[in-house]
Amino acid sequence: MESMLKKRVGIRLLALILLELALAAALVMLFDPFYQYHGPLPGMKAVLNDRDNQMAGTIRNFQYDSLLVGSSVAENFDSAYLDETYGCRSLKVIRASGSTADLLYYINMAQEKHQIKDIFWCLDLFALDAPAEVTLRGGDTPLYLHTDTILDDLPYLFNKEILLEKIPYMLAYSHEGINVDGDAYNWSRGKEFSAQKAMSAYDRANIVVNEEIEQKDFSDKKELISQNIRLLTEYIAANPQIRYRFLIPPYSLLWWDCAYVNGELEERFYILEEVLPALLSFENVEVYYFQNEEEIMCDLDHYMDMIHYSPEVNDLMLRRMAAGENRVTAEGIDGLIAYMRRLAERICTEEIFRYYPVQD
Amino acid sequence: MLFNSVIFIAVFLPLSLAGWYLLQKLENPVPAKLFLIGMSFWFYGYYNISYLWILLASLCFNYLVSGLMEKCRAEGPRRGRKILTAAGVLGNLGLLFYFKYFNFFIDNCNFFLHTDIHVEEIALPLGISFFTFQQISFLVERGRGNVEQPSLEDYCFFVSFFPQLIAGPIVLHSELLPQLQERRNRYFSWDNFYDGMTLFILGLAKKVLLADSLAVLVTAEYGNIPALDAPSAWLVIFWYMGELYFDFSGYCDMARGAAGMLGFRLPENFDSPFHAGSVREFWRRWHITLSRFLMQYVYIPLGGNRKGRARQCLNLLTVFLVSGLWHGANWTFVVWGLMHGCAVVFETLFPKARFRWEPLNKLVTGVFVTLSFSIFRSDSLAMAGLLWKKLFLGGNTGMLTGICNTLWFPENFAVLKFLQKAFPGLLNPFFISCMLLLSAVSLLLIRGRKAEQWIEEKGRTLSGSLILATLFVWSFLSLSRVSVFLYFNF
Repeated sequence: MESMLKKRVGIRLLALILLELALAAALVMLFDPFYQYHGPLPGMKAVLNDRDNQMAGTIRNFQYDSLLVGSSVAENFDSAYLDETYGCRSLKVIRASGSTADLLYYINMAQEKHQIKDIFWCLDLFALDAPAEVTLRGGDTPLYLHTDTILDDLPYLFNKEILLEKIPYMLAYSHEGINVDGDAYNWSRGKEFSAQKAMSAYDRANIVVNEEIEQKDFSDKKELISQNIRLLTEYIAANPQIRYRFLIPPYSLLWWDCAYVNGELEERFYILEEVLPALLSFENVEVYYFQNEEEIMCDLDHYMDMIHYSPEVNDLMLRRMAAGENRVTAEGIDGLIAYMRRLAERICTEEIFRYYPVQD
Repeated sequence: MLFNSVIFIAVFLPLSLAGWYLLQKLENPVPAKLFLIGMSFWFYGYYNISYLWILLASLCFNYLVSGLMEKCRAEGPRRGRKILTAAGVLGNLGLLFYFKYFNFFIDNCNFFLHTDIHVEEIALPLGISFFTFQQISFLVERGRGNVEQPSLEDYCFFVSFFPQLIAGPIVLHSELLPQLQERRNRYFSWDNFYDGMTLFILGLAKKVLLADSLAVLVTAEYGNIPALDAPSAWLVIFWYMGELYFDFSGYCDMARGAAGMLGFRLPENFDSPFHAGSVREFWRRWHITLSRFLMQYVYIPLGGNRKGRARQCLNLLTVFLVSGLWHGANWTFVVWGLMHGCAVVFETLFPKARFRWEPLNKLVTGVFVTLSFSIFRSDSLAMAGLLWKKLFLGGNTGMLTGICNTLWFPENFAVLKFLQKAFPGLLNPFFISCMLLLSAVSLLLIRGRKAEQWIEEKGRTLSGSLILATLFVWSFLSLSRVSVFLYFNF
């Protein structure tokens, strides 16, 4: 009798558990904040505010024909402007480190289901001496984000953070129009861009004016740099139907000074000297260079740290590119690099002291 | 593997249950036993396969010693069995010493003898104290001739049975091996399955929903002791007591629940310890199987209470010193153990020194235990000293509100975000309400009925089933933030 009762209540309990689990999974599948199964629901805008978790899903399930690629400095670009100007439908593809291998991994994923016609690549020079292997499928990144199967989605479907944090966030942001449309992944809301803020991120060593700093030997990094550049050029060669526009963003004078103080300036120029001719050897590649924009780089009020600039700078870069300004040609490379060497020297021996006065 | 993990609940446990009961359909019980032994090894080696080799080495060593005893018994010499028992116990203690105490020993040599010995940090295998003590008890009983030599698969099953493998209870061979031979345990029974499943669910909820929530507060503040004031210090030590209580109680329920689903009854290890009216009674309710082990294999062999009051007190202090060291290689555990030893000695010497009103005795015991466990949780005696200074001389700097602000959970996330945007002035009162709610629920459950009682009385009603199902789903959905059990390191 007791056993019969326990069988009955046991089955009821199991049924209730299954029902509640199914309900939880159904809610996650319906709203799908990581866009693992579908794009935004009818009547809702796609809210893109969680780069690493949403990237793979949006690449698989969104409709687009162009990509805006880059690191965190590319997140504040208004991709809607690109869509209007170039008549495309773009998707932001972001990897915080700007790693070439990781970004190409995403681009290849995009090409599995989409015909890509334009790639706008905000190219970080510092990413070109980073490891040339894909790092996305290891470490803390949940594997389910990168697979098509639902079988490994348990941590997504049955997760109270998804249900009680991500979905409410998504609903609220969609309602308020935050991180939607061209504003995807824009992180500038509530951030302070000022000289004070930027300087708080850079503790400059007390270098005396005109002090000679020995530049480091970086010959051990040359192979890594060429591997990264090869990744880029091989991809471009294999996909000639795509139109590539590379934007090289303007980091602040702090970035240049930091390179100088650490003896890495020559390495930065080496990367520039290697990558520009490599890219410009292709007919379907355009390069837009903004590191010579003195007014921006030397005014720290545009920055919140050494490299992260305000959305106004992003806007300016897009407008200049659309107008054909700041474009580098193969013939102009030598002149540009010579100019940059002079500018870097002036930054490190003069401009920096406007912000970091010489100590006696 | 953790009980509170998706892999355990969604894959390992269903697979174990299915394999165990399906293989029982064979006439020969060995394949089912071998299957569950294999699953237990997977369970143990899941995070670090090298731990498995240590377990296997320990198993082989003890089984070999036990086998040699069998040979001695056949030939008759009683002395040989005693030597083998001593050698076996020493071997086990040696293993425990190397993995658990060697670094501590070297550190103290360096400190007290001013030496400069450097050794690599030795990683502590999960649950080594549990399976070592379990095997010591087996060898001692074998040496006394109280137990027959089991088959190799039965012995492996007894030691490695996954529900009790890494955090107890410390099961005696006489409790598990007979159950393994019982024919009725070989067949699926809704009786066992329902009791086990419900107990597992309540244990899971205690661990995931309460212990892990309290851990948010405790971890943040134990890392920030210098900044605490008196009210926050008192709350932090009570929260830690709550965290440890639900962590251990939850684990014990899950262990017994998982074993129950497989048709086995594990001994009770936790019996409403804060209903105790004395420290002595507390230890009859908290980690019952450890107290039993220490009583049987330390206290009684030392003479127990048979050699006069002074010797009894010394024996009690020794038992609690061993208990302290068993919990960890740190002076904080030694001091904690001795505090409990002194309290029990006091209660032995002055049995009438009690309040007439029993709730007051329970309160005093609870406060004493909580204070002592604050040392147990501290990283060092210096930190424990600082915490105690804060308890009594910390003043009131309004730190409490700051502590409550760490209570960001998915459950209150939407409300917090709304208040942050619409009514920022209400944020602090809301955080304090969350803290009060968490504390009140913890207190009510600590003072309330045992899980099994609740299941018996309410679990079978429709509302009881709904509560159980919701607790399970809520806990399961919380496993994305997996934490480790505190008792694994002991």
